[in-house]
Amino acid sequence: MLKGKWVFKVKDELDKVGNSTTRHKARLCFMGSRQIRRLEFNETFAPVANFTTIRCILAMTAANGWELHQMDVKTAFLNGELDEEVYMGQPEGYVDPTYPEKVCRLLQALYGLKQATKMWYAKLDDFLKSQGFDNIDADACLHLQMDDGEIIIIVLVYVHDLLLVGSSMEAIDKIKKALR
Amino acid sequence: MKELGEAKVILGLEISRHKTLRTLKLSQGKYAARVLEKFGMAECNTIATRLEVGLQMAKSEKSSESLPYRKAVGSLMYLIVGTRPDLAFSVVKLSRVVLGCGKEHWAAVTRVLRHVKESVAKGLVYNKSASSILQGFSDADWACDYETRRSTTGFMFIFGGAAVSWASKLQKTVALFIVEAEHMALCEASKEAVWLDKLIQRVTMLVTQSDN
Repeated sequence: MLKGKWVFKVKDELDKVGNSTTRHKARLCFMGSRQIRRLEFNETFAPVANFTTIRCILAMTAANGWELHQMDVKTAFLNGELDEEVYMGQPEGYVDPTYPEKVCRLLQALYGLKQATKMWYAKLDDFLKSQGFDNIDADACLHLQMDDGEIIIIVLVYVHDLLLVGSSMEAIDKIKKALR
Repeated sequence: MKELGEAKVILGLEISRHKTLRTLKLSQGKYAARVLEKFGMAECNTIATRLEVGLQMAKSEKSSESLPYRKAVGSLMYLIVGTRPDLAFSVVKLSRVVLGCGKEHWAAVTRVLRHVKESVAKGLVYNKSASSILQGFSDADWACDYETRRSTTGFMFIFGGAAVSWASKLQKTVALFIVEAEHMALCEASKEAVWLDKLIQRVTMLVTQSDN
């Protein structure tokens, strides 16, 4: 059983109207550096797209005049679902006064958890497969789909950055809708 | 899920397209400018070449830790990974002496930075008119590593009008004659070619199917 830790960050940024604002971010992180191998985590590998793959796809995009869009997944790692049993102490400030000694079992990944990257990739991969995308042997992060022999969609995954390539705007819109 | 519209920057690589001409340029101008800024080279004089010809790099006896040598080499590395195959040989060569870097090595790094300043807007331009055949080139120098006498492999693959894959690495064993060094380079390049061919075949297969 390990503890979670609050991480606070003050971010200066521009809001939608262009005024500078300060955003205070709080994020509950898991102290993954103290996780025990084989007990609280097994594998932690997660693939990312190869730069060469990205360049090849961009070269084809240019030659065929395909559409090229991108998306960003917010708080990507929180979406992963856990296979292993991992427990965490109640987070500071949210301790149940009647049962302060109880612990939480994590069902979804947290930032800082060693397997967070793998679990996030597994979830995204499952989702893309359920949408009819094919993985190719050459690069695990390249997902392809062909529709009615006409529309092609390619999704390149780099952790939480998605590069969407489609032979038409409809194809792009379709996959964007599905991803939402 | 955040909608970012048409892709403009991916992993620090800037994408600019010309749809009617069907060209796509990939560059790292902003990143390069930031690197120059970081090492106080934003206003430096430019230079046309990256390294002195036949430069021999021996490790210094004591490494001067006060110089941001590692940082500079590391920052330049990302340019190689992204869009600058032309810098690969010189930066990889410089990276071999990070453990014993002296003033003369730092001078070589600043020379590369001055060249980056000159070529800051350069990038890879993919276009339609270029041949869609994958072309590969491989070469080796012979026993040019000053300390180990190992040779350097270099290869590059061109697809759609610009480079898609490249490398410059020190070979693992000593080559006794130039042909051996060239063969080792060719072997590395062939391995890359097999993989690239598989990747491109799989994607273009879909395209040709879809044209029917």
